[in-house]
Amino acid sequence: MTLQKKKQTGTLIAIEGPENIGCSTQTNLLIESFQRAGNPTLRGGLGYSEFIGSDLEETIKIHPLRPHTVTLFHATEIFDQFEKKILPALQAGFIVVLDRWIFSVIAQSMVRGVQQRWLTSLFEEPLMTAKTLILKAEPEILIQRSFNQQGTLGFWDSGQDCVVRDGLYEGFIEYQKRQKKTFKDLAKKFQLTTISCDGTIESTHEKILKYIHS
Amino acid sequence: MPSKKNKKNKKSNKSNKRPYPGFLIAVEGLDGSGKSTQLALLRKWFELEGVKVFFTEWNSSAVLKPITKRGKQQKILTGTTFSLTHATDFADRYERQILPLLRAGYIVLCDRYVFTAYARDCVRGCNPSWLRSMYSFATLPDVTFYFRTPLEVALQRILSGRPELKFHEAGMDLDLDDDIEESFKKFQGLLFKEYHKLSKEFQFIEIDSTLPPKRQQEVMRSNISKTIALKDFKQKKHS
Repeated sequence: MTLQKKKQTGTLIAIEGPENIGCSTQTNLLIESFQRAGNPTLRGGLGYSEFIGSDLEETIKIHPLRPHTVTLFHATEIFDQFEKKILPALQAGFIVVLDRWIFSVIAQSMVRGVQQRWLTSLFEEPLMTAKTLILKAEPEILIQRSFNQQGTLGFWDSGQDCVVRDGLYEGFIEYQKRQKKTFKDLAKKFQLTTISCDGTIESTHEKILKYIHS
Repeated sequence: MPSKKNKKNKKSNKSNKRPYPGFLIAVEGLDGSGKSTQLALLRKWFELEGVKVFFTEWNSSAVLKPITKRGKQQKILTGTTFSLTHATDFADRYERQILPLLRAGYIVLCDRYVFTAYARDCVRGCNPSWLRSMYSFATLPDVTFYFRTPLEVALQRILSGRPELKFHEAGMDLDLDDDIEESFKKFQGLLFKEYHKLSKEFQFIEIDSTLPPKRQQEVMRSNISKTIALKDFKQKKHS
Protein backbone atom coordinates (compact mmCIF):
# COMPACT_ATOMS: atom_id res chain seq x y z
CA MET A 1 0.00 0.00 0.00
CA THR A 2 3.01 2.27 0.20
CA LEU A 3 3.07 2.39 -3.60
CA GLN A 4 0.17 4.79 -3.58
CA LYS A 5 2.25 7.41 -1.86
CA LYS A 6 4.61 7.55 -4.84
CA LYS A 7 3.90 9.99 -7.62
CA GLN A 8 1.33 8.84 -10.13
CA THR A 9 1.35 10.34 -13.59
CA GLY A 10 -1.18 7.99 -15.21
CA THR A 11 -4.96 8.02 -15.31
CA LEU A 12 -7.37 5.47 -13.88
CA ILE A 13 -10.79 5.12 -15.47
CA ALA A 14 -13.44 2.65 -14.34
CA ILE A 15 -16.42 1.72 -16.51
CA GLU A 16 -19.08 0.43 -14.14
CA GLY A 17 -22.53 -1.02 -14.58
CA PRO A 18 -24.60 -4.20 -14.51
CA GLU A 19 -23.47 -7.29 -16.41
CA ASN A 20 -24.21 -7.38 -20.14
CA ILE A 21 -24.73 -3.64 -20.37
CA GLY A 22 -21.65 -3.37 -22.56
CA CYS A 23 -18.84 -2.39 -20.17
CA SER A 24 -16.37 -4.72 -21.94
CA THR A 25 -17.26 -3.36 -25.38
CA GLN A 26 -16.91 0.23 -24.20
CA THR A 27 -13.62 -0.58 -22.44
CA ASN A 28 -12.26 -2.03 -25.72
CA LEU A 29 -13.32 1.03 -27.69
CA LEU A 30 -11.88 3.41 -25.12
CA ILE A 31 -8.55 1.59 -25.01
CA GLU A 32 -8.44 1.60 -28.80
CA SER A 33 -9.02 5.35 -28.92
CA PHE A 34 -6.28 5.99 -26.34
CA GLN A 35 -3.86 3.72 -28.22
CA ARG A 36 -4.71 5.44 -31.51
CA ALA A 37 -3.60 8.69 -29.86
CA GLY A 38 -0.33 7.02 -28.79
CA ASN A 39 -1.05 6.51 -25.08
CA PRO A 40 0.28 3.45 -23.24
CA THR A 41 -2.73 1.61 -21.78
CA LEU A 42 -3.53 -1.23 -19.43
CA ARG A 43 -6.79 -3.12 -19.17
CA GLY A 44 -8.11 -4.53 -15.89
CA GLY A 45 -11.37 -5.13 -14.09
CA LEU A 46 -13.47 -7.93 -12.69
CA GLY A 47 -12.16 -11.25 -13.97
CA TYR A 48 -8.70 -9.88 -14.90
CA SER A 49 -6.76 -10.87 -11.78
CA GLU A 50 -3.92 -13.29 -12.53
CA PHE A 51 -4.40 -14.84 -9.11
CA ILE A 52 -8.19 -15.22 -9.08
CA GLY A 53 -8.91 -15.36 -12.83
CA SER A 54 -12.29 -17.00 -13.46
CA ASP A 55 -12.32 -18.82 -10.10
CA LEU A 56 -15.31 -16.85 -8.80
CA GLU A 57 -17.39 -17.44 -11.91
CA GLU A 58 -16.58 -21.16 -11.83
CA THR A 59 -17.20 -21.42 -8.08
CA ILE A 60 -20.59 -19.69 -8.18
CA LYS A 61 -21.75 -22.18 -10.83
CA ILE A 62 -21.30 -25.11 -8.46
CA HIS A 63 -21.37 -23.64 -4.97
CA PRO A 64 -23.89 -21.15 -3.55
CA LEU A 65 -21.60 -18.53 -2.01
CA ARG A 66 -23.20 -15.97 0.32
CA PRO A 67 -22.95 -12.16 -0.11
CA HIS A 68 -19.98 -11.28 2.15
CA THR A 69 -18.02 -14.21 0.72
CA VAL A 70 -18.64 -13.08 -2.86
CA THR A 71 -17.68 -9.50 -1.98
CA LEU A 72 -14.43 -10.60 -0.36
CA PHE A 73 -13.71 -12.84 -3.35
CA HIS A 74 -14.07 -9.75 -5.58
CA ALA A 75 -11.99 -7.70 -3.14
CA THR A 76 -9.18 -10.25 -3.52
CA GLU A 77 -9.16 -9.91 -7.31
CA ILE A 78 -9.41 -6.11 -7.08
CA PHE A 79 -6.55 -5.66 -4.61
CA ASP A 80 -4.44 -8.23 -6.50
CA GLN A 81 -4.66 -6.09 -9.64
CA PHE A 82 -4.49 -2.80 -7.78
CA GLU A 83 -1.26 -3.55 -5.93
CA LYS A 84 0.58 -5.56 -8.54
CA LYS A 85 -0.39 -3.99 -11.84
CA ILE A 86 -2.47 -0.85 -11.59
CA LEU A 87 -0.36 1.24 -9.21
CA PRO A 88 2.92 0.44 -11.01
CA ALA A 89 1.23 1.25 -14.35
CA LEU A 90 -0.07 4.57 -13.03
CA GLN A 91 3.40 5.45 -11.79
CA ALA A 92 4.73 4.66 -15.26
CA GLY A 93 2.20 7.07 -16.80
CA PHE A 94 -0.23 4.53 -18.28
CA ILE A 95 -3.94 5.05 -18.81
CA VAL A 96 -5.63 2.18 -17.01
CA VAL A 97 -9.17 1.32 -18.09
CA LEU A 98 -11.15 -0.98 -15.83
CA ASP A 99 -13.96 -3.16 -17.15
CA ARG A 100 -16.33 -3.12 -14.12
CA TRP A 101 -14.67 -2.34 -10.83
CA ILE A 102 -15.44 -1.46 -7.22
CA PHE A 103 -18.82 0.25 -7.65
CA SER A 104 -20.17 -2.73 -9.63
CA VAL A 105 -19.22 -4.95 -6.69
CA ILE A 106 -20.66 -2.48 -4.17
CA ALA A 107 -23.97 -2.26 -6.09
CA GLN A 108 -24.46 -6.01 -6.44
CA SER A 109 -23.49 -6.56 -2.81
CA MET A 110 -25.85 -3.86 -1.52
CA VAL A 111 -28.74 -5.40 -3.45
CA ARG A 112 -27.92 -8.57 -1.52
CA GLY A 113 -28.13 -6.78 1.82
CA VAL A 114 -24.46 -6.04 2.51
CA GLN A 115 -23.99 -2.75 4.38
CA GLN A 116 -22.60 0.19 2.40
CA ARG A 117 -20.38 1.29 5.28
CA TRP A 118 -18.71 -2.11 5.42
CA LEU A 119 -18.17 -2.07 1.65
CA THR A 120 -16.68 1.42 1.44
CA SER A 121 -14.39 0.65 4.35
CA LEU A 122 -13.21 -2.55 2.65
CA PHE A 123 -12.41 -0.80 -0.63
CA GLU A 124 -11.39 2.55 0.87
CA GLU A 125 -7.96 2.85 -0.65
CA PRO A 126 -8.61 1.93 -4.30
CA LEU A 127 -11.90 3.85 -4.18
CA MET A 128 -10.08 7.14 -3.93
CA THR A 129 -8.29 6.93 -7.24
CA ALA A 130 -10.60 6.01 -10.13
CA LYS A 131 -12.43 8.35 -12.50
CA THR A 132 -15.71 6.45 -12.58
CA LEU A 133 -18.42 6.20 -15.21
CA ILE A 134 -21.60 4.25 -14.60
CA LEU A 135 -23.45 2.84 -17.60
CA LYS A 136 -27.20 2.52 -17.24
CA ALA A 137 -30.03 1.00 -19.25
CA GLU A 138 -33.60 -0.08 -18.61
CA PRO A 139 -33.98 -3.70 -17.40
CA GLU A 140 -36.03 -4.48 -20.52
CA ILE A 141 -33.03 -3.54 -22.70
CA LEU A 142 -30.62 -5.49 -20.49
CA ILE A 143 -32.77 -8.58 -20.81
CA GLN A 144 -32.52 -8.42 -24.61
CA ARG A 145 -28.75 -8.02 -24.41
CA SER A 146 -28.47 -10.95 -22.01
CA PHE A 147 -30.49 -13.18 -24.36
CA ASN A 148 -28.48 -12.01 -27.35
CA GLN A 149 -25.15 -12.66 -25.63
CA GLN A 150 -25.86 -15.78 -23.57
CA GLY A 151 -29.06 -17.22 -25.02
CA THR A 152 -30.49 -17.28 -21.49
CA LEU A 153 -30.60 -15.31 -18.25
CA GLY A 154 -27.86 -15.98 -15.75
CA PHE A 155 -28.61 -17.23 -12.23
CA TRP A 156 -26.62 -14.37 -10.68
CA ASP A 157 -27.93 -11.55 -12.97
CA SER A 158 -31.46 -12.72 -12.30
CA GLY A 159 -30.89 -12.36 -8.59
CA GLN A 160 -31.97 -15.95 -8.07
CA ASP A 161 -29.95 -16.07 -4.85
CA CYS A 162 -31.64 -12.97 -3.38
CA VAL A 163 -34.85 -12.03 -5.23
CA VAL A 164 -37.72 -14.43 -4.74
CA ARG A 165 -39.86 -14.43 -7.88
CA ASP A 166 -41.74 -17.16 -9.68
CA GLY A 167 -39.89 -16.95 -12.98
CA LEU A 168 -36.40 -16.19 -14.26
CA TYR A 169 -37.77 -13.25 -16.28
CA GLU A 170 -39.59 -11.70 -13.31
CA GLY A 171 -36.54 -12.26 -11.10
CA PHE A 172 -34.25 -10.61 -13.66
CA ILE A 173 -36.44 -7.51 -14.01
CA GLU A 174 -36.85 -7.09 -10.26
CA TYR A 175 -33.14 -7.64 -9.55
CA GLN A 176 -32.03 -5.23 -12.28
CA LYS A 177 -34.50 -2.58 -11.05
CA ARG A 178 -33.03 -2.82 -7.56
CA GLN A 179 -29.48 -2.70 -8.91
CA LYS A 180 -30.29 0.33 -11.10
CA LYS A 181 -31.69 2.16 -8.07
CA THR A 182 -28.56 1.26 -6.07
CA PHE A 183 -26.26 2.57 -8.82
CA LYS A 184 -28.32 5.79 -8.89
CA ASP A 185 -27.94 6.24 -5.13
CA LEU A 186 -24.19 5.53 -5.32
CA ALA A 187 -23.76 8.00 -8.19
CA LYS A 188 -25.46 10.69 -6.13
CA LYS A 189 -23.51 9.98 -2.97
CA PHE A 190 -20.08 9.71 -4.61
CA GLN A 191 -20.78 12.29 -7.37
CA LEU A 192 -20.17 9.80 -10.18
CA THR A 193 -21.09 10.38 -13.82
CA THR A 194 -23.84 8.19 -15.26
CA ILE A 195 -24.16 7.58 -18.98
CA SER A 196 -27.29 6.16 -20.53
CA CYS A 197 -26.59 3.43 -23.07
CA ASP A 198 -30.03 2.78 -24.42
CA GLY A 199 -28.79 3.75 -27.91
CA THR A 200 -26.11 2.27 -30.18
CA ILE A 201 -22.63 1.15 -29.12
CA GLU A 202 -21.15 4.05 -31.09
CA SER A 203 -23.38 6.67 -29.49
CA THR A 204 -22.45 5.44 -26.01
CA HIS A 205 -18.76 5.52 -26.97
CA GLU A 206 -19.15 9.12 -28.14
CA LYS A 207 -20.76 10.09 -24.82
CA ILE A 208 -17.90 8.44 -22.90
CA LEU A 209 -15.25 10.19 -25.00
CA LYS A 210 -17.00 13.51 -24.52
CA TYR A 211 -16.93 13.01 -20.76
CA ILE A 212 -13.30 11.85 -20.67
CA HIS A 213 -12.09 14.85 -22.70
CA SER A 214 -14.30 17.38 -20.90
CA MET B 1 -3.74 2.15 20.46
CA PRO B 2 -6.95 1.19 18.70
CA SER B 3 -8.43 4.00 16.65
CA LYS B 4 -11.85 5.49 17.30
CA LYS B 5 -13.12 3.33 14.47
CA ASN B 6 -11.80 0.22 16.22
CA LYS B 7 -13.58 1.05 19.41
CA LYS B 8 -16.78 1.62 17.52
CA ASN B 9 -16.55 -1.75 15.76
CA LYS B 10 -15.71 -3.49 18.94
CA LYS B 11 -18.60 -1.85 20.71
CA SER B 12 -21.06 -2.72 17.96
CA ASN B 13 -19.83 -6.30 18.01
CA LYS B 14 -20.28 -6.41 21.76
CA SER B 15 -23.73 -4.93 21.72
CA ASN B 16 -24.72 -7.57 19.18
CA LYS B 17 -23.32 -10.34 21.31
CA ARG B 18 -25.29 -13.55 21.15
CA PRO B 19 -28.06 -12.62 18.73
CA TYR B 20 -28.69 -16.39 18.54
CA PRO B 21 -29.45 -19.31 20.85
CA GLY B 22 -26.14 -21.11 20.12
CA PHE B 23 -22.75 -20.65 21.75
CA LEU B 24 -19.50 -19.79 20.00
CA ILE B 25 -16.17 -20.95 21.38
CA ALA B 26 -12.83 -20.08 19.76
CA VAL B 27 -9.28 -21.12 20.54
CA GLU B 28 -6.27 -19.03 19.63
CA GLY B 29 -2.53 -19.21 20.15
CA LEU B 30 0.78 -19.83 18.47
CA ASP B 31 1.42 -22.95 16.41
CA GLY B 32 2.48 -25.62 18.88
CA SER B 33 0.50 -24.15 21.78
CA GLY B 34 -1.67 -27.27 22.07
CA LYS B 35 -4.96 -25.52 21.30
CA SER B 36 -6.13 -28.03 18.67
CA THR B 37 -5.59 -30.96 21.03
CA GLN B 38 -7.58 -29.22 23.76
CA LEU B 39 -10.40 -28.27 21.39
CA ALA B 40 -10.63 -31.90 20.21
CA LEU B 41 -11.01 -33.00 23.84
CA LEU B 42 -13.70 -30.37 24.39
CA ARG B 43 -15.54 -31.56 21.29
CA LYS B 44 -15.43 -35.14 22.55
CA TRP B 45 -16.87 -34.01 25.88
CA PHE B 46 -19.79 -32.26 24.16
CA GLU B 47 -20.45 -35.25 21.90
CA LEU B 48 -20.50 -37.66 24.85
CA GLU B 49 -22.92 -35.31 26.64
CA GLY B 50 -25.24 -35.45 23.62
CA VAL B 51 -24.79 -31.77 22.86
CA LYS B 52 -25.36 -30.28 19.38
CA VAL B 53 -21.80 -29.37 18.44
CA PHE B 54 -20.01 -28.32 15.24
CA PHE B 55 -16.29 -27.92 14.66
CA THR B 56 -14.58 -25.73 12.07
CA GLU B 57 -10.99 -24.67 11.56
CA TRP B 58 -9.09 -21.80 9.96
CA ASN B 59 -8.50 -21.93 6.21
CA SER B 60 -10.70 -24.96 5.58
CA SER B 61 -13.46 -23.88 3.19
CA ALA B 62 -13.77 -26.63 0.58
CA VAL B 63 -13.95 -24.13 -2.27
CA LEU B 64 -11.56 -21.43 -1.05
CA LYS B 65 -8.74 -23.50 0.44
CA PRO B 66 -7.44 -24.76 -2.94
CA ILE B 67 -7.35 -21.17 -4.24
CA THR B 68 -5.39 -19.92 -1.21
CA LYS B 69 -3.06 -22.91 -1.49
CA ARG B 70 -2.39 -22.12 -5.14
CA GLY B 71 -1.64 -18.48 -4.28
CA LYS B 72 0.78 -19.56 -1.57
CA GLN B 73 2.51 -22.14 -3.76
CA GLN B 74 2.97 -19.66 -6.58
CA LYS B 75 4.11 -17.03 -4.05
CA ILE B 76 1.95 -14.40 -5.71
CA LEU B 77 0.17 -13.14 -2.60
CA THR B 78 0.82 -9.70 -1.13
CA GLY B 79 0.07 -8.95 2.53
CA THR B 80 -3.34 -7.61 1.48
CA THR B 81 -4.34 -10.49 -0.80
CA PHE B 82 -3.04 -13.02 1.75
CA SER B 83 -5.40 -11.37 4.23
CA LEU B 84 -8.34 -11.17 1.81
CA THR B 85 -8.14 -14.77 0.64
CA HIS B 86 -8.24 -15.96 4.27
CA ALA B 87 -11.12 -13.55 4.99
CA THR B 88 -13.02 -15.00 2.03
CA ASP B 89 -12.46 -18.52 3.37
CA PHE B 90 -13.68 -17.38 6.79
CA ALA B 91 -16.75 -15.61 5.32
CA ASP B 92 -17.73 -18.75 3.42
CA ARG B 93 -17.61 -20.85 6.60
CA TYR B 94 -19.25 -18.10 8.66
CA GLU B 95 -22.17 -17.43 6.32
CA ARG B 96 -22.89 -21.02 5.36
CA GLN B 97 -22.06 -22.84 8.59
CA ILE B 98 -21.14 -20.88 11.73
CA LEU B 99 -24.01 -18.36 11.78
CA PRO B 100 -26.83 -20.72 10.67
CA LEU B 101 -25.60 -23.29 13.24
CA LEU B 102 -25.56 -20.68 16.01
CA ARG B 103 -29.09 -19.74 15.03
CA ALA B 104 -30.03 -23.40 15.19
CA GLY B 105 -28.76 -23.54 18.78
CA TYR B 106 -25.46 -25.38 18.23
CA ILE B 107 -22.25 -25.00 20.17
CA VAL B 108 -19.77 -24.02 17.47
CA LEU B 109 -16.09 -24.69 18.06
CA CYS B 110 -13.59 -22.68 16.03
CA ASP B 111 -9.94 -23.65 15.84
CA ARG B 112 -8.74 -20.08 15.22
CA TYR B 113 -11.12 -17.20 14.58
CA VAL B 114 -10.80 -13.57 13.40
CA PHE B 115 -8.02 -12.94 15.94
CA THR B 116 -5.67 -15.12 13.90
CA ALA B 117 -6.15 -12.66 11.04
CA TYR B 118 -5.74 -9.68 13.38
CA ALA B 119 -2.37 -11.08 14.54
CA ARG B 120 -0.94 -12.55 11.33
CA ASP B 121 -2.17 -9.94 8.87
CA CYS B 122 -1.12 -7.08 11.12
CA VAL B 123 2.40 -8.55 11.20
CA ARG B 124 2.18 -8.72 7.39
CA GLY B 125 1.56 -4.97 7.28
CA CYS B 126 -2.24 -4.69 7.08
CA ASN B 127 -3.90 -1.81 8.89
CA PRO B 128 -5.45 -3.06 12.17
CA SER B 129 -8.58 -0.92 11.76
CA TRP B 130 -9.09 -2.12 8.20
CA LEU B 131 -8.83 -5.71 9.46
CA ARG B 132 -11.33 -5.16 12.26
CA SER B 133 -13.75 -3.47 9.90
CA MET B 134 -13.41 -6.26 7.32
CA TYR B 135 -14.31 -8.92 9.88
CA SER B 136 -17.03 -6.83 11.55
CA PHE B 137 -19.76 -8.82 9.78
CA ALA B 138 -18.92 -11.68 12.13
CA THR B 139 -20.03 -11.86 15.73
CA LEU B 140 -17.35 -12.14 18.41
CA PRO B 141 -17.05 -15.48 20.20
CA ASP B 142 -18.86 -15.96 23.49
CA VAL B 143 -15.63 -17.39 24.86
CA THR B 144 -12.11 -17.21 23.43
CA PHE B 145 -9.45 -19.40 25.00
CA TYR B 146 -5.93 -18.19 24.39
CA PHE B 147 -3.26 -20.81 24.87
CA ARG B 148 -0.41 -18.81 26.26
CA THR B 149 2.88 -20.53 25.60
CA PRO B 150 6.40 -19.28 26.28
CA LEU B 151 7.83 -18.60 22.83
CA GLU B 152 10.73 -21.04 23.35
CA VAL B 153 8.32 -23.86 24.24
CA ALA B 154 6.16 -23.30 21.13
CA LEU B 155 9.24 -23.14 18.91
CA GLN B 156 10.71 -26.28 20.40
CA ARG B 157 7.42 -28.18 19.96
CA ILE B 158 7.06 -27.20 16.31
CA LEU B 159 10.69 -27.42 15.26
CA SER B 160 11.19 -30.85 16.83
CA GLY B 161 7.93 -32.33 15.61
CA ARG B 162 7.80 -31.06 12.03
CA PRO B 163 10.42 -32.04 9.45
CA GLU B 164 9.90 -29.14 7.08
CA LEU B 165 8.53 -25.64 7.67
CA LYS B 166 6.33 -24.11 5.00
CA PHE B 167 7.21 -20.77 3.37
CA HIS B 168 4.31 -18.69 4.73
CA GLU B 169 4.14 -20.59 8.02
CA ALA B 170 7.71 -19.43 8.63
CA GLY B 171 6.88 -15.87 7.55
CA MET B 172 9.45 -16.07 4.74
CA ASP B 173 7.32 -13.64 2.71
CA LEU B 174 8.24 -10.96 5.28
CA ASP B 175 11.99 -11.16 4.60
CA LEU B 176 12.75 -11.52 8.29
CA ASP B 177 15.69 -13.87 7.70
CA ASP B 178 17.12 -15.93 4.84
CA ASP B 179 17.22 -19.01 7.05
CA ILE B 180 13.73 -20.55 7.26
CA GLU B 181 14.11 -21.68 10.86
CA GLU B 182 15.37 -18.27 11.98
CA SER B 183 12.57 -16.59 10.03
CA PHE B 184 10.02 -18.85 11.74
CA LYS B 185 11.38 -17.92 15.17
CA LYS B 186 11.25 -14.19 14.41
CA PHE B 187 7.76 -14.47 12.88
CA GLN B 188 6.42 -16.37 15.90
CA GLY B 189 7.99 -13.74 18.16
CA LEU B 190 6.06 -10.99 16.36
CA LEU B 191 2.83 -13.01 16.57
CA PHE B 192 3.41 -13.61 20.26
CA LYS B 193 3.49 -9.85 20.84
CA GLU B 194 0.31 -9.33 18.80
CA TYR B 195 -1.54 -12.05 20.70
CA HIS B 196 -0.50 -10.46 23.97
CA LYS B 197 -2.15 -7.18 22.87
CA LEU B 198 -5.24 -8.94 21.51
CA SER B 199 -5.68 -10.92 24.71
CA LYS B 200 -6.10 -7.67 26.64
CA GLU B 201 -8.25 -5.97 24.00
CA PHE B 202 -10.72 -8.85 23.64
CA GLN B 203 -10.57 -10.32 27.15
CA PHE B 204 -9.36 -13.77 26.16
CA ILE B 205 -9.43 -16.48 28.80
CA GLU B 206 -5.79 -17.40 29.07
CA ILE B 207 -4.77 -21.01 29.48
CA ASP B 208 -1.24 -21.78 30.57
CA SER B 209 -0.23 -24.34 27.99
CA THR B 210 2.71 -25.54 30.04
CA LEU B 211 0.22 -27.09 32.49
CA PRO B 212 -0.50 -30.82 32.12
CA PRO B 213 -3.03 -31.34 29.27
CA LYS B 214 -5.66 -32.78 31.63
CA ARG B 215 -5.45 -29.69 33.85
CA GLN B 216 -5.84 -27.37 30.84
CA GLN B 217 -8.98 -29.26 29.85
CA GLU B 218 -10.37 -28.94 33.36
CA VAL B 219 -9.88 -25.16 33.23
CA MET B 220 -11.72 -24.97 29.90
CA ARG B 221 -14.64 -27.15 31.03
CA SER B 222 -14.94 -25.30 34.29
CA ASN B 223 -15.13 -21.95 32.47
CA ILE B 224 -17.78 -23.23 30.08
CA SER B 225 -19.84 -24.83 32.83
CA LYS B 226 -19.93 -21.50 34.65
CA THR B 227 -21.25 -19.75 31.53
CA ILE B 228 -23.77 -22.17 30.00
CA ALA B 229 -25.83 -25.19 30.99
CA LEU B 230 -25.08 -28.08 28.62
CA LYS B 231 -28.64 -29.35 28.96
CA ASP B 232 -29.79 -26.29 26.97
CA PHE B 233 -27.83 -27.52 23.95
CA LYS B 234 -28.78 -31.21 23.92
CA GLN B 235 -29.94 -32.89 20.73
CA LYS B 236 -33.70 -33.19 20.59
CA LYS B 237 -34.77 -36.80 20.34
CA HIS B 238 -36.90 -37.76 17.35
CA SER B 239 -40.39 -38.83 18.33
